[in-house]
Amino acid sequence: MINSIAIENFKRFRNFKLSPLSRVTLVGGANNVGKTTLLDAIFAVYNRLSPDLILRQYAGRGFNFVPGGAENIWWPIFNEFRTDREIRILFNWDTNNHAEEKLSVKLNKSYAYNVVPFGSDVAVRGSNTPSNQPEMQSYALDVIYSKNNQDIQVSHVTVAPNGLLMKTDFSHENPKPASIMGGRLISDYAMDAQMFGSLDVDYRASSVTSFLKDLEPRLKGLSVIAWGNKSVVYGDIGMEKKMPVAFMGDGISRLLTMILAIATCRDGVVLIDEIENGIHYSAMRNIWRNIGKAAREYNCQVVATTHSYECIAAAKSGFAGGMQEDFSYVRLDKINGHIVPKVYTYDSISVALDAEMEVR
Amino acid sequence: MPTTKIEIKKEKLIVVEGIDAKLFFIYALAHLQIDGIQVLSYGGIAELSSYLKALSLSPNYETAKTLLICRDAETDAQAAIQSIRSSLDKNNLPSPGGPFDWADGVKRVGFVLSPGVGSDGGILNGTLEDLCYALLDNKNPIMACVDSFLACAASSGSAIRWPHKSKLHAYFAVTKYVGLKLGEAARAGALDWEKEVFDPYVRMIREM
Repeated sequence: MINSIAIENFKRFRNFKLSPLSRVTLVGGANNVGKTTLLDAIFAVYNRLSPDLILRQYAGRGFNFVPGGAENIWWPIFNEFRTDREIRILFNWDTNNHAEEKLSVKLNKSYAYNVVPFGSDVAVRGSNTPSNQPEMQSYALDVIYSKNNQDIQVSHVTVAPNGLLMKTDFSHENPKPASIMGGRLISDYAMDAQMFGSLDVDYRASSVTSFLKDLEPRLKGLSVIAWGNKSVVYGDIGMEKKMPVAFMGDGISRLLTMILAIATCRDGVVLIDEIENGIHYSAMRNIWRNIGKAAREYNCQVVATTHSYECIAAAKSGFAGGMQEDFSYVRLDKINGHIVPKVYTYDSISVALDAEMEVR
Repeated sequence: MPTTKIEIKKEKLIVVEGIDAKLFFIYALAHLQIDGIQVLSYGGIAELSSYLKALSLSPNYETAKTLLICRDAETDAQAAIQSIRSSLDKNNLPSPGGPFDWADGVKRVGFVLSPGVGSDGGILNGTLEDLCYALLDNKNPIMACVDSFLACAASSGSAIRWPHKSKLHAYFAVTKYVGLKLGEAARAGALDWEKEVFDPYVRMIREM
């Protein structure tokens, strides 16, 4: 498991350290303290062979273009938009052979890119003559992955006409899988079906049903059913016909997605933004309980965010009875302009909740 | 689940054991006309040590400058002192040498033990109810009736472990404070805050 994480110059974090992390870590705090940024930072290390880190900054905020032009494309991931500083994300693990991993991201001004789309005005002109066709100019972003202080993978991300291009030397795919779930309410049924299928092909899908039974005791089994070129996870709840799990309710639908993510990320990490979205507070206890059980079974680390007091209280209840050590709650506070984590063990969050203290 | 949660709102905090003690200090502060002190209760929730740990993680804890801890001496004042000091040590808080004293460090920390200080200057065993009994109007003739009642009960085989606690509630039961708990009686004006026995508390509160 990741024991600690240090983040420098990444989005909301100028210099941030969090230790320890648990098997399941719930992160709270006010708006704009970096809860989602923490998930982005962890995912970036796992997903280092994809420029998704950049694109997520825009897609997550509803942008399908880069405000300010291509030369500004890298700004959103740098703290205070300071592209002259290097981003560093450092993990420490609880195993000696995998002790330290670091992802460095920095602007590389010696690796400039200038893209002129086909169809541009190719008439001879001076270098300072403005063209009437769009040009994209940008420096490259270097993404350097190192393990135990040895650089083992270097990528250059550049702007391409229809997106981003990533060129990687010494490609080293992360053997540990990761999955990130946004805070949106509706599950991606096609992705659910794909994850279920990847488990089913290895005869590993049956245990998924058991994790959902607390929320739907009638559930006897799950299966993927194809309709044309689309596939959907259906459940057998003893009715005349099987029913798409998505139609059984938001709670069970969200839990299915979370359990599938955990089950397909054995030995990896699952990151869940705004975990309580679409779930009634009364269902959260069972959801936490089953997330905890699944995280143990698949040796998966889960980091989730929340704004909800009820969600935190439900986690306390869900992890009671033998799973207390697997859970911690972290609130991110803004103190003198810096983001500071306050780490509650299971015991200390229990006391705080029992005393009706504010913990969000 | 209440919608309003307890937040640290003031720089000076009194941490007490239970809702009665909380009300007791709230009304003592009102009598003393002292603002700027917040009273928090941990009684029935957890050990002091784990409460202080949770408190230290609360939003705005950094803004709290002074902490006064109040608890009962129970049957062994020395054990209570050791217990409080151990809780402070575990939470990296400065630990005063004894009750009704201060230690400075990351925060200013003091503690008091109820019922308080005896006529010989020693720390008394007992509880907050003992202190409250001492704060009642001892010129009220009902006090003699209460004494007689307790004596009668004891002679009839009743094991009275905390005589002052029993006397206090017997007194409430035959006055306008009937049915009230300690904190409620404090709110209703049952206690005389000007009595000398309360002076060490007043001093600590004013020194916060």
